[in-house]
Amino acid sequence: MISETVLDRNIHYPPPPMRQVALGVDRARSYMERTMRAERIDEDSRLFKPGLLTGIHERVLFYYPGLAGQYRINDEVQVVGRNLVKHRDLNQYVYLFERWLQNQMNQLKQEPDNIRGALQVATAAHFGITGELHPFDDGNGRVARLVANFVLMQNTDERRFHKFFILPVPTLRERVDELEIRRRLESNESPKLQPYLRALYEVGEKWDLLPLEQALATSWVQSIDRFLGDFNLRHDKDGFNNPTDQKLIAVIRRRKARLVQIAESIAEGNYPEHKVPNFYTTKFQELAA
Amino acid sequence: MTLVLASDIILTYSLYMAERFVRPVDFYNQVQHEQQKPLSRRMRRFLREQELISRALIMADSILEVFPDVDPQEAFNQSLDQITDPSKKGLKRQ
Repeated sequence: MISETVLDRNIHYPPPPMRQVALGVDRARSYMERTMRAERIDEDSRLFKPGLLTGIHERVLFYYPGLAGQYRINDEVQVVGRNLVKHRDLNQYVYLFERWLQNQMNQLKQEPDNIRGALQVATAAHFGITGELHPFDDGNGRVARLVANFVLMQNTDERRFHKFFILPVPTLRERVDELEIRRRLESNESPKLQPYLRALYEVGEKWDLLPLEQALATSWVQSIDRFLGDFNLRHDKDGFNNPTDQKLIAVIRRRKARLVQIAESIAEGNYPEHKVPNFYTTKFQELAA
Repeated sequence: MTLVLASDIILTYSLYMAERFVRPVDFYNQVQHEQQKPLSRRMRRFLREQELISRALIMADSILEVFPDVDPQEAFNQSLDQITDPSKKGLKRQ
């Protein structure tokens, strides 16, 4: 039972120290990493199962003990002018969402080369958390980005065979003027946004996940580019002659080529619409299978 | 009676062990094939650095979300300092 004072919306929470914010996300990341590291190769995902979102959130927002891991308790939030899931139903909806995610991840585990599939699951999960459920008062974006990162990372070779957890899409937010965005929205103009936020906005408008998929693919390509750039610098200096090293780098190059191909196909409109899936239809028969 | 019980227990246990340890062979062969040849030490060091960089990036991302006015480069540098400085408690590598 939460005390009344914690639930009182009029409480003014002091801004957290900058270090605490960084520390919170790092704690959540290490929690996810440890859980993923502990699972056996052939077993179902231990990380992606009910309780995931609150588990991440209570680490991300550890500096506000009253809010950490607690669902929101009002329905005042709107995303792109649309109402979200009612706070009274959040418990059930989040549970079904996590079941959906678990099923998807177990399927993805069987097909490690399916990059497009991983991108689709990551975007759907990201939008499900931020755009449909929005389960927490604060920190939804951080939770969603961590989940998307780990969805994409699950099938990478460096994690599966060598146990290196390199987060694929560190979507760095640029400076955002929220007042300016709100003013433009109120006067029916389209706001000027960064690619990542613009993609989220477009998904909310058209209910089509392709822009976000493209944004994630592009930022993954950028992060692989940075990785390969660093590697090439080192390669000239030292030389990596080990065949396993070369194989890993070849796999990463192939992944980059595939991602570029996906991003281009989306830009040219070669893919059909990727509608936001219905997360809440998981039946118990499917769960047993 | 005791014999029946004992044989039943043995049968159940052996079935349990069989289920537990018999895995699809191809899958394991593939994984072992990858694992038998380790990465070179240089490569592992390089990947560890990349891990740290990606950690610092996601921490910087969270800083920018809460404090949008901070310079992204400064947020990244601070995060990297926190990870790599062992005197700062609570951020040790897991």
